[in-house]
Amino acid sequence: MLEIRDLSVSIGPHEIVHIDALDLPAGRRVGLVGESGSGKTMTAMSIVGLQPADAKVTGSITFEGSELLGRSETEMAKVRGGDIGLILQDPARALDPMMRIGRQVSEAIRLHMNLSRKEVVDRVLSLLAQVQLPDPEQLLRRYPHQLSGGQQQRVLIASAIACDPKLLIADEPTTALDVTVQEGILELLVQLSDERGMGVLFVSHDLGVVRFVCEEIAVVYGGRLVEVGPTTSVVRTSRHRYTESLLAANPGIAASDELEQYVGRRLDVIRGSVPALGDFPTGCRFRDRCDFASDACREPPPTMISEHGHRFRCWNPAGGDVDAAAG
Amino acid sequence: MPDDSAIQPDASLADLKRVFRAVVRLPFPLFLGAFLVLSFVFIALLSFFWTPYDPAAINVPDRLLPPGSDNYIFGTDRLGRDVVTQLMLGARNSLYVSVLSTTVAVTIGALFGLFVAGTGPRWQGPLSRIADVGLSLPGILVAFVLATKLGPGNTTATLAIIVWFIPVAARVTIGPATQVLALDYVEAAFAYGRSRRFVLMNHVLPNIGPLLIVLASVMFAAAILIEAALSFLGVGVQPPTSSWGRFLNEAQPLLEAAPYLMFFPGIAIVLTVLGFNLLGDGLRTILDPQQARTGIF
Amino acid sequence: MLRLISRSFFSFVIAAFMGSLVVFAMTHFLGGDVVTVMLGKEAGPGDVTAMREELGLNLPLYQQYFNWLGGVVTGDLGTSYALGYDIFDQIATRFGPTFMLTFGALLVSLPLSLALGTYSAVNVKNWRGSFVDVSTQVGIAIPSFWAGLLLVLFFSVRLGILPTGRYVPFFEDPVASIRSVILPITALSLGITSILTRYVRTAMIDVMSGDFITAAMAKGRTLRGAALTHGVRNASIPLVTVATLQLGQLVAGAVVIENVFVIPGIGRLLVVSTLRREVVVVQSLALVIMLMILGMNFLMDIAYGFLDPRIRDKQEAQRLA
Repeated sequence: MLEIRDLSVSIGPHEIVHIDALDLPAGRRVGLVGESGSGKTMTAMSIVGLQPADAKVTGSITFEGSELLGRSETEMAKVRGGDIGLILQDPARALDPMMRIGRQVSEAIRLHMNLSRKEVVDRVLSLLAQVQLPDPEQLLRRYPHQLSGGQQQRVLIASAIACDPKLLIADEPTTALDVTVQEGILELLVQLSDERGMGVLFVSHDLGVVRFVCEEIAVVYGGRLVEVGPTTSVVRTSRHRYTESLLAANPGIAASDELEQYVGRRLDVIRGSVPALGDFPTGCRFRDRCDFASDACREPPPTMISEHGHRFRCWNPAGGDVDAAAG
Repeated sequence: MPDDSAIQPDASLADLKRVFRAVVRLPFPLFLGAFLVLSFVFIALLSFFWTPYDPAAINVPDRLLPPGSDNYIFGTDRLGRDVVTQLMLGARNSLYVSVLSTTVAVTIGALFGLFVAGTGPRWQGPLSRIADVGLSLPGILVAFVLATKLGPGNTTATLAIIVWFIPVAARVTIGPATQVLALDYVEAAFAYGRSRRFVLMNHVLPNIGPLLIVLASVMFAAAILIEAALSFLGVGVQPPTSSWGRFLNEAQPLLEAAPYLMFFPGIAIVLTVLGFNLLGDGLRTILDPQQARTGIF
Repeated sequence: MLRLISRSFFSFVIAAFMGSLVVFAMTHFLGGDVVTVMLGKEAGPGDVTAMREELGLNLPLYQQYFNWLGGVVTGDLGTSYALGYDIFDQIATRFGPTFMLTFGALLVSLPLSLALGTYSAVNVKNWRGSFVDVSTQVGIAIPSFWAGLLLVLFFSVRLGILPTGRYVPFFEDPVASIRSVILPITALSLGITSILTRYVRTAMIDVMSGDFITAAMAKGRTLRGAALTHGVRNASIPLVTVATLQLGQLVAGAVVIENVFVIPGIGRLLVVSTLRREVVVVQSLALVIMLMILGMNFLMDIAYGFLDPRIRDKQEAQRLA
C-alpha cells in the first residue's frame, strides 16, 4: 500500500534522512524505531507533506499506486485526514483549546466527506464510542482542558480515523501519557487496526511499545534504515549492532523467556550520543559508537538479508558471518 | 581569530576593524534606528551652535514662501521664519523634554520597582497594586490636571510626562527584578550577609540594565509624541519656544494656503519616533531575544 | 459566566472609586491653590474668600470629596467660572460624540488588526508580511493629529469628498453622522491598529507554531485553512488583553483628535477648560474620562470571557472548590 523508495530529506547541506526502501502492506502495522534525532518523525511527516518548510524532499513515496511527493499543498491536504490519518505526540497540545471536542473530531469529516449535519454528528458519536470514551453526547460540547490526558489522546485517535483512512501514522502517541494509561491506548490502536484493516506506521523510540503493537519493525539511526523485518525476528535475532545495543539498553522490553539473559547484567548504555546534524561519520553512521566497528565500516555497508527474513546493513553483524547476497 | 592584541603593536587598528565589522553586520532596522536617532541628536545639539537663520528673527515680508525658494530650502512660515531653523529648534526642544523626562522617570520608577521587588512577597502584592493604579490612570489626565493647575508650558509638560511614566517604569522593573532576586547566586549573596540594598544595586540592577535601556528607548519615542501632542493642543510649549507640535498647530489654519508647512514637522516627528522605536526593538533583539513584548504603551 | 460578569463589575466599581480618589487628590494637591489658579494673580483677597466659600473649599477634604461624588449622581457639578455653563449638562451633551469616536475607533481597529496581523503572520516569509510589518512600524510613529491633518488635506480640501468639521449626532441623521466621523475615526484608529496588528502578528506566529495547527493540517487543512479556523481564535485572546492596555492611549488620542476636527466632545472641552485654568471643570472631566476607560475595560473583560472557555471554567471551578 505504501512504498517508500530512495527517500531523501535534507535541510540545508545536511541530508537528514535517506531511506532506500520501506514497504507498508495494507493492514499491516509497522514500527519505525529510533532515538530522538534519528529522523523518524521527519520521515513520517514527509509522507504527508508536513515536513518543515525549508526541508527538501526527493525520492518516491507511492500510496496505493500514486505518487505523493511533489503534489501541491491542496492535493496533500486532501490526502491528509482522508486516506491517511495522523496522530501527533502530545495530545494536550494537539487539541485546539478554544474549540469544542465535537467540532474538532468532526473537522476531518467535514473536510473530506459530504454528509448532512445529522450524519456528521452520528458519525462523531459512533467514533467516540469506538475509542471507548464514556458519555459521547456530553463529550461533544466539552473543551479539551476538561479531559484527562488519556481521554484527549482517544479523542485524537477518533479524529484521525474519522474518515476511515487506510493508513494511520502515529507519532509517539503514548509518550506523553502516564504508563498506566499507555497500555489502554496501545490496545485500542491494535484493535482498530484489526477491525478496519487499517495499516499503521507507528513511530516511537520505545522498543517495548513498538514490539507490542507492530508486526514489523524498521530501526532507524541517523536517518538511515539499519534493520527492517518482522518483529519477532528482529528482536530475537537482531543482526545490526545498533539494534542489538538498543535491545540491550532496554531490558524492560524483554519477553519473559528472554529475561534470563539479562539477569546479573548491568544496564547497558550505548556509548556516546547521537551526533549533531553535520557531525555524522562517513560510511556507516553508527561506527563511532559501535564496539564492533572495523576498517570496513568506513564504507557504507550493503544491504544484506538474514536467514530469518529481515534485512540489515552491517559489516560486522551479530550472529556470525553474513550468509546472503546483497539485496 | 587569535587574540594576540597584546603582542601586536597596531592592536587598536585590529580592534577597530573588528568593531567596524560587527557594526556593519547589525540588522538593518537597528542600524537605521541608530542612524535616525544619532541624526536627531546631532541636529538638536547643533542648533545650540548654528542655525541657518537667527532663531529669533521674524521676517514678515518673506512670509509663507514655499520650499525651494531662493534663500529658504524648506520655505518659511507665517511670520517669515525659516522652516529649517524652526525644525532644528523643535528638535532641540524634543530632545530636552524627552531626555529629561525619561531619565528622571526611569530612575525614580526603576528605584521604586527595585524597592518593591526587594520587599518580598508580603508587601509586594499591595505595593504592586499601587503601581498598577498609577498605570491604569491615563497619563493624559495627569498632564491636563497639571497644566490646569500650573499653567501650560514646557516645564509642565515635562513634569506631566515624568509623572505619567514613573508607574510604567516601576511596573516594568518589578517583574524582572523579582526574577533576578530568585536566582541562586543572588540568594547566595544574601546568605553571605550582603545587605538588601547592596544586592539590589550591585546584582539586580546590572542584570536588568539592558531591559531598562530598551525601556528608555521606547519611552523616548513616547515622550516625543506626547510633547508634540500637548504642544499641538496649546498645553505644552508656549511661544516663543519652538516645538514640532506647536509648528503643526500653527500650520493647521494654513492647511489650504500652505500645506507644506504641515509636512515637515510631521515627517520630523515620524522619523525621530521611528528611529527610537527601531533602536529599542533592535536592542531588545540583541540583548534578550527571548523577551516577549509586554506592550506597556 | 455570570460569575465573571459580576466579578468584573465589582472590580470596575472598586477601580472607579480609587480612581476618583486619585483624581481628587491630584486636583487638590498638585500645583498651586485652586482658587488662585482660577482667578488669576490679580485677584483681590475678597474675591478669593468669596470663591473659596462658593466652592466649598473651606470644608474638610473628605466632605468635599463626598459632595463632589454626590454631585455626579444628582447631576450638580457646579458651573463654569469663565463661561457660566452648567458643568453636568455640558458633560452629558458632550459624552455622545466622544463615545462615538472612541468606540468607533475600537470597533474598527479590533477586527482590522486581527485581519492584518493574521495576514502578516501567514505571509511572514515573503514580502507581503514584511510590508505589513514595516507599515505598522511606521504607523506607530505617526502622531494621530498629524494623520488627521493629512486626511483633512487630502480628502476634504483636495478631493472634497468628506466634510470638514461639523459633527452630526448619530440619532439626528445616521448617514451624515457617520460621514462626519469617518476621518477622525480613521486618524484615531491608525496608531491603535498599528500597535494591535503587531501584537496579533506575534501572537499568530506563536500560535501557528503550536501543535494543534499541525494537528489541524493533519486532518486535511492547508496552512492557511488551519490558521483561519484555529489560529485566529487563539490569537484573539492576547489581542483583547493588549487592547485593554491600550485603552488609555485610545482615549488620549480621542482628546487630541477632537481638537483637530473640532468635534464637540469631552476632549475639546478638556483642552479649552485647561487653557482657561478651570480647575473645577477639569476635575469632573477627568473623572468622566476615567470612568469611560474603566467602563470599556469592563466590557473587554466580558469579551475575554466569551472568547476563552478556560476563563469561564476557572470561575466555575473556584465556585465549586
